[in-house]
Amino acid sequence: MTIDRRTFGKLVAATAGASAISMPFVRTASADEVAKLGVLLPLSGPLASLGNDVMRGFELAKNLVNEEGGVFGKPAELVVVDVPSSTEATSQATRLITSERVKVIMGSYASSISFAASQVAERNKVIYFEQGAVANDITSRGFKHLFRFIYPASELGGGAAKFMLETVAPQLGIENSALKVALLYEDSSYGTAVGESARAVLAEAGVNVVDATSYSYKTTDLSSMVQRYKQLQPDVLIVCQYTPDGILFWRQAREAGLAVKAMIGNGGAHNVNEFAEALGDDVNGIFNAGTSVYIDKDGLVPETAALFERFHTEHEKRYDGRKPSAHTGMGFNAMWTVLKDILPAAGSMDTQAIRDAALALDKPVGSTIVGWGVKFDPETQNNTRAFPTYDQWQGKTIKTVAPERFAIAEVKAIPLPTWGKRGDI
Amino acid sequence: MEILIQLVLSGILLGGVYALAALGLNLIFGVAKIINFAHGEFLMLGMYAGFWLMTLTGINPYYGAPLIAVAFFILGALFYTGVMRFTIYKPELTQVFVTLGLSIALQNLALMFWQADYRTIQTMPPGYASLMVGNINLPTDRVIAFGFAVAILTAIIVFLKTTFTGRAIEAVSQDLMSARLMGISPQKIFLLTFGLGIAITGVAGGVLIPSFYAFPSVGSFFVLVAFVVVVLGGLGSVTGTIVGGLTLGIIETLVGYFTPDLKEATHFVLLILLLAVRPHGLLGIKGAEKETLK
Repeated sequence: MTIDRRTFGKLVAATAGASAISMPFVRTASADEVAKLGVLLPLSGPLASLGNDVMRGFELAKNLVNEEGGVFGKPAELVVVDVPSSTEATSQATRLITSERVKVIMGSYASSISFAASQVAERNKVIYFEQGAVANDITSRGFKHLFRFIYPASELGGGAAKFMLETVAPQLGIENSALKVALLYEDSSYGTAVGESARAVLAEAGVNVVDATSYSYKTTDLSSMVQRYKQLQPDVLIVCQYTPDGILFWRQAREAGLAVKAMIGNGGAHNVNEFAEALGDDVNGIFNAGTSVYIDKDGLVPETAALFERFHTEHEKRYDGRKPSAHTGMGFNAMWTVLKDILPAAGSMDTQAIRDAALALDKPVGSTIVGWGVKFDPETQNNTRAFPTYDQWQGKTIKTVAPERFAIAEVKAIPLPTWGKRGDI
Repeated sequence: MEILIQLVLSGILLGGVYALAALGLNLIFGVAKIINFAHGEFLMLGMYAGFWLMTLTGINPYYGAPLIAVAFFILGALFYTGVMRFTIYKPELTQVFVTLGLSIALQNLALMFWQADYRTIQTMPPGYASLMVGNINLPTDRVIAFGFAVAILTAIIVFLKTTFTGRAIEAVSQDLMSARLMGISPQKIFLLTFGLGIAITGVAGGVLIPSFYAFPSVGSFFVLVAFVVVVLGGLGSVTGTIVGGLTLGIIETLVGYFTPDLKEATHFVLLILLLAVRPHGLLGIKGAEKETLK
């Protein structure tokens, strides 16, 4: 297309006119101070199940806050975009920022999605609160606008390994040097980071890591891994899996009669109800390192204990009797903290004010419904008061067994009884 | 030695699953020369059919397979008359986009009706999860699925080779013009083929649900494998599907055992090699990959 001088003039005039019209609109939008938050989650596609769990948590927190008068005296608003995988993360984050003009984005649970989307937020100076993605490299990029509520993967996988060394190994009565451990993890940034941090802790403790394997969570078969373990005969499995592959693996392990003395998961599959529904009694005895909403509420500060109760009753009431998962709890926690603590302290939707308020926030351990406190590290902007809790499936429900402050049950069933005899754990 | 036997047997069973998942895709391609990108979603619907059948009526999908077959035959016929009929002599791109669009629509409808939850059923009582032959163990659900694969495949081959209608289907698949001159109505044959192809896919989903799980985008887990199986075995060749499935199953299990990290890569390495060396597949008819309906 060639543009002659007259057309060019018209174009310039039209553009100037358009921006003149749009400018006052922009100004009123930012002066209005409505807490309008972007939500970026996988709500369809293979990661949708947990994505929707988080969404229910976000929604519940927003609704409870709005019923109490909202933020800045007005109801808070959520603009939700669906990001099935990391491929769509950049474009949808851009859409939230440029066409929806949000100043804050809440994300995203899957590490690979969070990694890509937070990059766009940082570039546009939009605050990104990550509630549940653990990969270390998300916060190791020196971003100034990214805050993470959850602990990094190194504390998760490393924590699982320490839990195994401190709690499981002594009950097995096996010395570290004689203990055989196999690591199995899905190969996206979540599984890899967790697997590698577990391996580092185990190597330092002198444990014999007999196998460390990754695979794609989209796999339709894990029987070859199960056969591998039947030959290698590890005492303990430390795994990091999403729900579908987690179900597939444990089912195929049952079919092949794989005997291990303990298995420890790292969030993903191993703290959601669908995992228990798919496996029935055979879920019992499995450990999980991660986050739980089934902790002892006496470990929480009184005000939070009341909120904890309210979270559980309101969730079941508003979502057809459904029990909340850990992911719902983390979503709720992040949204509640942002709407109740950070935004009111900031006093406006100004980026710098929100950032200052977030950095100034200082809540002790036990002051959120998942047990954590909130204190963001000024360097990494990770929440320094988040920590994994350790749970065990007992009677087909997940129960926190450590740390002691939040435990509601004792560790049982080490070593694991044989298949078919796990009903009474 | 024992472990090798175990791995090959596991591979054969997995191959049966793959063949079952791919058969409907290949049947439709062989006759109507349409690559159905919504194939995975029909498999997903089959899985939900198995799940709901068991959950709502208590009928085990293994016994309920005929019901699923009938329902999915009707679904396939509707799919043809309502959608595919209009694309049949159109350029390939039209067919690709119509089926791809349908795939996205079906995924999102499933998400709307049944949410993103993973759903599965348990058909075997505890303790019967696998059959033991010496030290070799064979998962019961997989053995049954393999049985279904063999039965369906045999039935299809017998039907195509011995009945009048079956031979008419073969005729259309081989030479549309001559078939027409012999008085065969291609429209009826296409209708029948879509019905059959989708019915097989529905049954496949139904018998796979006890060893897998249904959720709206589960089709995408299987559809890539199905494409590899079809290309491997030979486009349009029904026997090729089982050969392709078994080859892939065995190779994947062996690679998965010895070098687990490369397990997922096997599909595609195999596909690239085959396309370079033998583009019509192991048992396919030379030139089938270039065919479209004119």
